[in-house]
Amino acid sequence: MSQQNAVIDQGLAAERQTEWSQQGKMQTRAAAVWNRYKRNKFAVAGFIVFTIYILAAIFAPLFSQYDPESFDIMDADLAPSLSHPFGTDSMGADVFIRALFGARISLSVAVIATTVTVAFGVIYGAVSGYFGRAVDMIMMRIVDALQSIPSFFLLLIIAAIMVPSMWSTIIALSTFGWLNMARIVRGEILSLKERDYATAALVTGEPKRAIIFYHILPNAIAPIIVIATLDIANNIIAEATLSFLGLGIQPPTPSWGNMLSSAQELVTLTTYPWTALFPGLCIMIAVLAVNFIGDGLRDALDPRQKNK
Amino acid sequence: MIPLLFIISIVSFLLMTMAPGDPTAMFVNPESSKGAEQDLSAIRDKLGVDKPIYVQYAKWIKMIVLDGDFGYSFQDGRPVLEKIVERIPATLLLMGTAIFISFLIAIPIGIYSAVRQYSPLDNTFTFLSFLGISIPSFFFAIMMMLVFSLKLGWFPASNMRGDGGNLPTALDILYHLILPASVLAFGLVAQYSRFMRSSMLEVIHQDYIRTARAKGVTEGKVVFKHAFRNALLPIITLIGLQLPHLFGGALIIEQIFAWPGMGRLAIGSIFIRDYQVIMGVTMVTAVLVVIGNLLADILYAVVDPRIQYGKT
Amino acid sequence: MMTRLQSHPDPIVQVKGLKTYFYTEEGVVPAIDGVDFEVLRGETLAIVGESGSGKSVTSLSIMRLIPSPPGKIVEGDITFNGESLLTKTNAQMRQIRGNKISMIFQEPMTSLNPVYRVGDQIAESLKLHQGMKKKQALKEAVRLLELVGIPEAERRVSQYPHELSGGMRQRVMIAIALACNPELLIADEPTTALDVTIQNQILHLMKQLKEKTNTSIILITHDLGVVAEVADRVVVMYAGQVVEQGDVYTIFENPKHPYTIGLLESMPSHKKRTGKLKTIEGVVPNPLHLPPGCRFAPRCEFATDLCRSEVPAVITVGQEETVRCWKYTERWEGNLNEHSAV
Repeated sequence: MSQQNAVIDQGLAAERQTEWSQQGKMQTRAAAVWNRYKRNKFAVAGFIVFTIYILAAIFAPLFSQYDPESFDIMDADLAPSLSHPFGTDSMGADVFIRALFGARISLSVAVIATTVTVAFGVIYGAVSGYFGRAVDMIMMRIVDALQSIPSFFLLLIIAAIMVPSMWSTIIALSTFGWLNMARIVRGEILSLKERDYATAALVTGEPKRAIIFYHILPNAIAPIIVIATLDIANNIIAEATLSFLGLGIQPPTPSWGNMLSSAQELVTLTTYPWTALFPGLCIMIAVLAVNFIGDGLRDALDPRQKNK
Repeated sequence: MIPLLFIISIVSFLLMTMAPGDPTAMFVNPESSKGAEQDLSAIRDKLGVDKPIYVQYAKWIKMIVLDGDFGYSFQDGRPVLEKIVERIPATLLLMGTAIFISFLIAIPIGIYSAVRQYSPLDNTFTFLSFLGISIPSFFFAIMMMLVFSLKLGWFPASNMRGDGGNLPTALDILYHLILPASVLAFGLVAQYSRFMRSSMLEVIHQDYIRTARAKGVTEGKVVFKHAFRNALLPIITLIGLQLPHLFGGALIIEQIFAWPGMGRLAIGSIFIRDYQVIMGVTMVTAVLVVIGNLLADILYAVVDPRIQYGKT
Repeated sequence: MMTRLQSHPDPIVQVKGLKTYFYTEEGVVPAIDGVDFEVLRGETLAIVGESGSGKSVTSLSIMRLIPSPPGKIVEGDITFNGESLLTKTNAQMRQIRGNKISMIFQEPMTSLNPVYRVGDQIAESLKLHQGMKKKQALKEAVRLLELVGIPEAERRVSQYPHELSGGMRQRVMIAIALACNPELLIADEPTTALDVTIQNQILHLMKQLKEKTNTSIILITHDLGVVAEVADRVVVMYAGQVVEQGDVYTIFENPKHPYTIGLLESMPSHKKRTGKLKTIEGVVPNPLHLPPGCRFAPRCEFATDLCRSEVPAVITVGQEETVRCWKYTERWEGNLNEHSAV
């Protein structure tokens, strides 16, 4: 995977060499994007909330004297109080501190899986879109086929084949998570390669690989960023769902999803609803924040797309 | 459509070969006590486990296509196809009801939001739809179950049928259906209302809408007669494309509400590593998705006079 | 010192001091900024100007179809048969639209609803304004299609727009517009999107129909060739204002405003094929940053300091012409050239 990332890095580095993004223009463009982004109150709120999440995840150990994996059966099923703001679960662990450590796991899984899928999806889509014709036809047929299988089925199957762990979850999320990105990038490339600068590069005899990564891809960066952001949101939900079903992160390691697992038992749910409520809210607010960021970026990066 | 299913079958097959255990055992009926050994060698021969992988695939696909044979369930020895087919109606009922409910709510919301773009109510709907796509469906399902069945006791929390209540069967199923279908519909409303809004916004700025206004047509007729049908067209395609997600969503709802559909069968099979059932469900679902898209195409052709192939 | 054109006794449309502004994120766009003109009964009035001059906004203002927000008529009045259109309720306006005033648009390819048959789209007006039943309305639709010169009208009436060519669709649009025998027909660049041969057919058709029905027409165009062919009088617009108006002969033979002169000189003519075509240098000013004086001054070869600093008023010259230019006032100190008629 590191090889693919290296290729992407090259592509991003190439951005600086292309005409429209020389240093000065780059800055004004970034400033313009930021100006438009600022106008969207929800996007700004999402950005702030998500930053808080990241900080909370990084500094989780500083927040509480409790250990997320220490269980004291005497303290089981306590309602939320000052000493346990989110209450305790049936094993006697503090729900708040587990949610904090859960943020570490859940956010890392989502971000790592998204990095992998973005890298693969971008390359796949770029190759398919650039070469076109038969290559494109076959590559896109594969994407079509995979997309007509409910992605969550595929997730479950992959998760079931492996022994559940953090890495199996990441692999499961990555294996088929790149389809949408591939399709979007391919569409962008198809329209971009007809433009003059691509033709110009072709005429000067540059190799095709260089044309894709140095001339075309940097211009498709806006939709890639937006889709990547929305992929993070989807991966947070997917990880939570897998872990909730017992196929993702395994207890005692906390993840937001597996904290809700116990709520599948109706007795637990009625008697100790906070064990489900707080981790669920953690997921929801995180996903909401990321979705708002994605929406803000979409409007900011591509003003033409507004209202769509 | 055929190449699509072909690729899906390859993927399913590859996943199946990756699964641990002896693949031949899947095709032996464990219940048939007599001559199990003969069976096994016959199956080995039929599958060609010693042959290269593409030969294995060819034999496997031949079994499915020609004999409709998906093998036997590891759990209870019943043919996989039989187990799946009996679960299809429950899943389709749940999904169909959810789509129906979500249309009923999402389309008016989408139209209103487009006509009164950026009004306070439109902004509220926008926020709610963000909320709708951001709530994990399992969490929302659990919370709704907590409130509406466990606390208020309005609806049953699980299953499709009650235990011998005095309701007629159809009403009993409906009674059990309302909560899971509404929960599934909730996420759909969030998506469909956004689709409808943007589609309607696109249409409402078209030249022919201006023509209608210039004719003196009332605003209501402009929206519901001239814009609505055009705005619905992309929605039909989108819903076809969303079908796989819908199956995924139904799977989680079925699991939480113990709804006896294909999704619950799939999850149950995953926990006991009943791979042949999982593969079967995957293949059948993919076929249903392809059929669903075909239906969407036909519907599109019916609504849009510019498409001719539906009529010939 | 504002000298207005003398009113005719009974104009069908009077536009008085009309200002239509658009309130955008970047600022207020004065798309129409104090426009006066009249349409006389039975005449064809051409409104000429480059894109962005406000000619289309003028026509949409008369129809009260300015998209709002962001657009708004902020000042002035529009009367139709002596009654103000701006004080009418929406319901009253709907009685007028498509009935007494109807409109043809520039884009025949997209102006018809793709999911309804052309017959139904014509019949809609008839059912709405004439209270016809569906069957009767469809019969009338066939007659209208024949009237606008569509062959096999019986068959065409049940076809969808995508089955018709661009020229055919524009004929259908005309049929819709004429369905209720309007007193005023507004045609907004009706031939711009069509092939040259089709353009001539459509213009010919409009001329013919006007003679038959005696409808008044406002023809909006940037094409002076079209103007010469069909118009009785001409209004020249520039940057949201009327810069010159008068009868078609005067405008073509003796134009006053340097912009009109420029327009005419940039028009290809078969009479004098020798010389090079002249163009007007520069571009239409950004409506957010209009020049302080005359709006045409930055592109005008005669512009003086006066032009650049003070807004010229509309003055009457000759018999029935007006012009908005300092050259024709007593304050003018620059060069007079051969075009001046004062």
